[in-house]
Amino acid sequence: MTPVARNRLFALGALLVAGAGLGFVAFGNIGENLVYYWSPSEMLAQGEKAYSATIRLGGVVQPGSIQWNAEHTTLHFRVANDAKEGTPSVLVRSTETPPQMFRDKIGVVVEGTYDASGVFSSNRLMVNHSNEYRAPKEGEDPNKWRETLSEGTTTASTGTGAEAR
Amino acid sequence: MNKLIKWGLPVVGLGVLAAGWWLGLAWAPPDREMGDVQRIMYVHVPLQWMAMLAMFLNFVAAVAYLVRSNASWKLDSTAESAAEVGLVLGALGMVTGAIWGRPTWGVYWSWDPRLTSEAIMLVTYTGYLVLRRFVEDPDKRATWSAVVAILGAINLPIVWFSVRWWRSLHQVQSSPKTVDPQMVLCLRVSAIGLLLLTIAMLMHRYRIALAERRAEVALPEALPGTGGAASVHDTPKVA
Amino acid sequence: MTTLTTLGVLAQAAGQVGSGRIQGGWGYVWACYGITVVALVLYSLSLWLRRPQAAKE
Repeated sequence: MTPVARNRLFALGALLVAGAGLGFVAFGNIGENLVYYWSPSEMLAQGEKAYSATIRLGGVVQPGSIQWNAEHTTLHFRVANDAKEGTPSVLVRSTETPPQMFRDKIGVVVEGTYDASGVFSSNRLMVNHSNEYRAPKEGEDPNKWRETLSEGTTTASTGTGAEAR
Repeated sequence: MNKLIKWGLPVVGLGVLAAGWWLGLAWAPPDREMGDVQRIMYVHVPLQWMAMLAMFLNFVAAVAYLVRSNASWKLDSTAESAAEVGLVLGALGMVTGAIWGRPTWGVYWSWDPRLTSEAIMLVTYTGYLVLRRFVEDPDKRATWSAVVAILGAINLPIVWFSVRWWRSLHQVQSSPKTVDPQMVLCLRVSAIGLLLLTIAMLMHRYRIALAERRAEVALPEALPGTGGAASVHDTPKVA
Repeated sequence: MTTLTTLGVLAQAAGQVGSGRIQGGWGYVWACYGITVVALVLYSLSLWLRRPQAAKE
């Protein structure tokens, strides 16, 4: 075999392997088996199996649920599937000061454990941002400003990767 | 290389990048949520774009090297330069992204799909460059590294689409619809400036690689003490 | 453009938990730009040091 033919064979082989690998990653079920976080409803559906394991829980901060105690730096809030009312939610307790972007309806991911008392103890609280970047409007009322923000910025608060596409 | 391009391109690139950054830091409005921290966008996003571009060039050059019947050292040198420049830009993109993550997400790092695939990508291209250092025969080096380059390139679409395919902490791509026009302008100017600088870096790195290849090929057998990884830098000076 | 009113809007309600706005943070911004500039300068320097010396051939 000439070196050129050999090299072409290498190229073909490598492209096939790469294509197959990419196809597997893109269309396989990796997203279902290996999720970065669970939504509240998914975690609740696990029942007792969810207790005491370290879990990442992701969703949206339920409007009006934030309770912050500055003296003891304890934070309580509910993580919901989305910002609509009446969606499944989980009470989260955290002992750290949240990032400054933390607010009602923002996407959050918390790492910690869930127990039988129905409280999720977080030891790592992360806030995620949407893909929107806007200048503040002049003379805008901060409370109205909040209503113009997109809800549930967590990219796939519900559903798996396949559905999110 | 044309003197005008050799020196003009970096100077123009620097000028455009400086203009874009100045606009981004002093003229553009702050973001309503992130405030001034959002200005990191004008350095982080162009770095990541150009890193992806350089790595894609590496892939194209690698395929061309293997497929073409008259493949020359120029393609191999292009692949080498693109991988190195891409790795530098990608590493900087990751560092600036981590710094951006601290005030916004609250953490420098989390193993979400985007960050994980990005980390794997950087490790892949580091491995690619290390492999090149370890193979002494230029022919074998070019062939083997081209295969690694093609296999490593599957990470490029994975990194890009990771935020759409899976749940992640990193947000999905922005578009001009989701970004205010002033910010878009700053981002575009900065990206064009960095693009010009990237092309300049690629060209200079390419010349180094090509000179090394020619010096290697000119030597029938590696002379004692000149072959091997450590002395690749010195080859042009020795010759 | 950053006018006084916009700054005023930003400052309102910021800095307390649940406000949803980042205050300050210029240190992070400068760190990003500084690291990038330093690294690119160093890399350009390495390109310069490794330049092929065609004249001697």
